[in-house]
Amino acid sequence: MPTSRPARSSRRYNIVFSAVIAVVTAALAGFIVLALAMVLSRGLPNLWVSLQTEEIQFSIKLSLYTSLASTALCILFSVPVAYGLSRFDFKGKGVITMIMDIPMALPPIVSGVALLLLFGTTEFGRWLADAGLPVVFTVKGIVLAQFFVNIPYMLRIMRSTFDDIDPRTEFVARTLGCSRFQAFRLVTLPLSKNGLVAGAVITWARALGEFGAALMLVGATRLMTETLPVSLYLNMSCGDLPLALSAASILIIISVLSLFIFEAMGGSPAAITRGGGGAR
Amino acid sequence: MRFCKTRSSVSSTCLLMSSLLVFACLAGCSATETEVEAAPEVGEAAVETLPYEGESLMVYSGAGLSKPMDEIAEVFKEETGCTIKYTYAGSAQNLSQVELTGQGDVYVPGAKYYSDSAVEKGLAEEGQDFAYHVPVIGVPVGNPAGITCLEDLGNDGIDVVFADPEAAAIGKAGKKMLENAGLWESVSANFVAQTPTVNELVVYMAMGQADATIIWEDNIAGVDDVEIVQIADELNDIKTIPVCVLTGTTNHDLAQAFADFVAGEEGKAIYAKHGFRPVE
Repeated sequence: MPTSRPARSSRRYNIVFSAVIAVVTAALAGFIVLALAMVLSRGLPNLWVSLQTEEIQFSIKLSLYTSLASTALCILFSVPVAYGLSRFDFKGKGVITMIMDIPMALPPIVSGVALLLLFGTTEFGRWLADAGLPVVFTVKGIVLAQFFVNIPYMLRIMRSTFDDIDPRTEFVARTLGCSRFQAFRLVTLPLSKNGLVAGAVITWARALGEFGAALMLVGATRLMTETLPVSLYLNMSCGDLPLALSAASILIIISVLSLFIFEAMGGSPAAITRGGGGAR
Repeated sequence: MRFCKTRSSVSSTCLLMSSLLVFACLAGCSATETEVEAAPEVGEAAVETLPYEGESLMVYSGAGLSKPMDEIAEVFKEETGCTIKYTYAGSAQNLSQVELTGQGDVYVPGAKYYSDSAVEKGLAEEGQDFAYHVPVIGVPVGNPAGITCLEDLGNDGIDVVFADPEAAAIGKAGKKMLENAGLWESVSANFVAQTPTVNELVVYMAMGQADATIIWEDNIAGVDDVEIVQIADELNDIKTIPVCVLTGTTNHDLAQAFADFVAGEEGKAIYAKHGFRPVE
């Protein structure tokens, strides 16, 4: 419509364009901050008192233990698998990559039911339980649920980290007499340190918040399988708001801190979903 | 002017989006929240106008009552044109939602204890008892552990799953019953897991994950993989299910009409169909 004075018009368009972007951005940021502030403003005043209760202490300890254990497991599996997917070409690589990503796309409660069926109703599950590794209704089940839900994230970050490291560094190491494993251990692994730490931190933070899958696999038993999110849920359920919001505040604080560390280590949130731009 | 218009429409879109997001977050608070949009939307041959066409009610209901309540919503919609939106959760969780938000029209908890508490807090009007909620022992099909009575739940080596006494009506009723019988110590020592609502217990029984649980008699209507063992009358703690109008309702006539419908012949008949014993 405005064609008579294109130059002026376009300048005005530019201002509007920027203004719209600014408004939307401010609205979104304000929305997020407001939502978190609602929890923190009610949770923080009670935090100290809540920290004295056995229930919160127990859930903090259990959350720390399970999340660290599942993160260690994620590292253990993701490093070799991500290295393989990054360096080797083989038939069906696309399919394998897709399979590895499935748990990320599943609703956690579906993952929980799947794990419950696998470990609760099959011979394999019974054999494992007899061998001293029962997972249904146990703390080990929480670790397993967190591992299952989070492994795709760790894998993606590790893979993009390895992708970013020039394979020629390994070739050079091998011309100098290293075996494949030595080249990996002495060259690639040290180079991927930042990506590894960033991935571990974000995986750990996600593990702390894992709820749906574990709920199905191990139930929500007070002082037994009560992690921080379960504590939040149970205390919301019975109307104990101070305790519930304290648990929520602790989770928020940990999440924000770990995001901060993740960014500081050079990870970008996009790396998680896009599988690109890891850390070097 | 043109630009103003563009901007205001963008910011109103933005407002709409954030309110949608807020709504989604609120809805996400309860893991078991569902909306029942009974019967298709209007638009097709509204032959005669129904008394409450196009109106809706928000009803809090115990998670274990979802099957008869869904059916009642369908019939009620057909007869009056009113859409019922349910929030299904543990009875105590519903109560704290009512207390926190002050919203909603009708409350149908799993036991009278909760409506009494709501009346006491001035949140609800005195309700009508319309069905019995009968606790029973639930066992996996074939009763592998040979459970015959309440005492057996405390025997060595029996795995019991139980509802959280703070969060679910059946947990509270079951705990009181066991305490009165002097069995709480021995039975609670056999707990392998607790759950926030009764529904997970039925899943665990159907999958054979434990030897016994305490559930409502009606929970197994239509479930083939779970059997029940009746609890002796002198030990049992049979509850009544009330329906009450919330004091915060904005449409008292309609809320009352729904409560009367649930407690009336049609409501009772639907409940009887789903394995409940109606109050005479």
